[in-house]
Amino acid sequence: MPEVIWWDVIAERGTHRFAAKVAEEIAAYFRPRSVKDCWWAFISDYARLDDETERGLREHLRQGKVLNDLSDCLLEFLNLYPECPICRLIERRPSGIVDIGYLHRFECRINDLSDNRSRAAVLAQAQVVYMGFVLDKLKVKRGLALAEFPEVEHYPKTEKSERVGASICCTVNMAAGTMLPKYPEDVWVQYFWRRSLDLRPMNLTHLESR
Amino acid sequence: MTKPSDIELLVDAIDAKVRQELRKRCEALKPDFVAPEVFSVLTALLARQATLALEITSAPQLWNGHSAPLFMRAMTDVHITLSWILMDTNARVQQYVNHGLGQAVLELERRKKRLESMTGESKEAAEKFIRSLEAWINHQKWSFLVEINIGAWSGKNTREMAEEAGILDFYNYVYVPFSQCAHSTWYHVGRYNSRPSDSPLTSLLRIPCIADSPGDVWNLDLAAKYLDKSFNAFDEKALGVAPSSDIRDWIGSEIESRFGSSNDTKPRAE
Repeated sequence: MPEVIWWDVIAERGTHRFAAKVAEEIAAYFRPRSVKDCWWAFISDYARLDDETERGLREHLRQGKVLNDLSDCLLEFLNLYPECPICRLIERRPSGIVDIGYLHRFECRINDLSDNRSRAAVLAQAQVVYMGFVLDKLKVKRGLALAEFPEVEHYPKTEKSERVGASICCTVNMAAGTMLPKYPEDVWVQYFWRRSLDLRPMNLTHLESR
Repeated sequence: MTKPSDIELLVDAIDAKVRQELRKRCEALKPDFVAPEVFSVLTALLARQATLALEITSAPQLWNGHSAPLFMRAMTDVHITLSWILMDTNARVQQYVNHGLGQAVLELERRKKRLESMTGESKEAAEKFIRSLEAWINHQKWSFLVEINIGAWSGKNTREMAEEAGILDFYNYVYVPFSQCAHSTWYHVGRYNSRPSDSPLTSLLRIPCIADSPGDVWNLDLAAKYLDKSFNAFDEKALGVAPSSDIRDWIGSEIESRFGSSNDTKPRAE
């Protein structure tokens, strides 16, 4: 979940349409610079950017007129997690100042995303699949549920969208299994949970109340 | 409202002390997100041990030979489990969790099967339970990925676990005797629910009974002793500090100060 959370952050602060536009722009930049086993959909993917590619990507996003809005969408999230590799996408450095209101809202989103089959979680995972499509790295045979990808928009209201949602979850599991480091070695994910504990230290006072 | 009895006041004080000691330990263990189950399992087992101690403490009418051993046996089980896990924590917490999830999946499948023959409100209630159990499992691991192991969770019996943890004496002199009550073997039942016949003419027969078993504060002492053992094992192996649990001594001094040693008013179960 922490690997795809940025898509939910973008969609929540912006729109799903804007998140799709960001995916298209990033894909357009990386299509000629194909990297094996990378769809640039997971947060950890951005830890591997060299300085030149990083600058090039930002410039590309600026020309595509998404950089400012993308920065606006991500800034509060990045203030919570200033070491997130996605920081490299935007020009403003996160201040690290925590907005309590945003933290509370973010916590609610995480709660929702924890259920892999919730609408928010499926739509965030759909962004990964969409990146695969727009990068031309994922091909789907006609007749398969995933071939009706746009139907995910209606998830989980229609039976067809549920089938598409299920195939998206499977595809993302497969992609994560091949493209991401194993959980104990995933630097971003480890940081995410450690930092989350800093942001919301565990309250064990209930152990002392009857 | 009636004034709380001396025993009730003592129970309240023990409750507060145990909870405070539990919280202190749980807060001292820093979670490691490479293996988050370590924090979850160790603190949960410690909380389980505290729960058992508090439950028996809060019910002085159960401080007798019929009931107290049920709690003591459960507490010895927790202590052996905890001690064995602490010897190779990362691997064993996984084993422990996986086995528990497997048990949950097994129950889930059985309940799903039973659902087929149910109707009406009972079916709805069963479906609700199934959904909630499934969500509990899936939150930890997708239910279809859970392996079901119908053997012992550790792959060993309790004796082997105790032996490996270096507490075989504890197994022999504590776990086994209390198991007699928990399993209602003749060793327990023959003494607590059976006695010689009243007449020599029927002396070949023993007659059923519910033996008098007066409450004894010694059971409270035992519960505190096992809680100390588990807290101390946690201190030493999980926190890497010197064992410091003193609940048993603390209860002793509380009893001393509340009821005095010069008279015979030591608390008895009512």
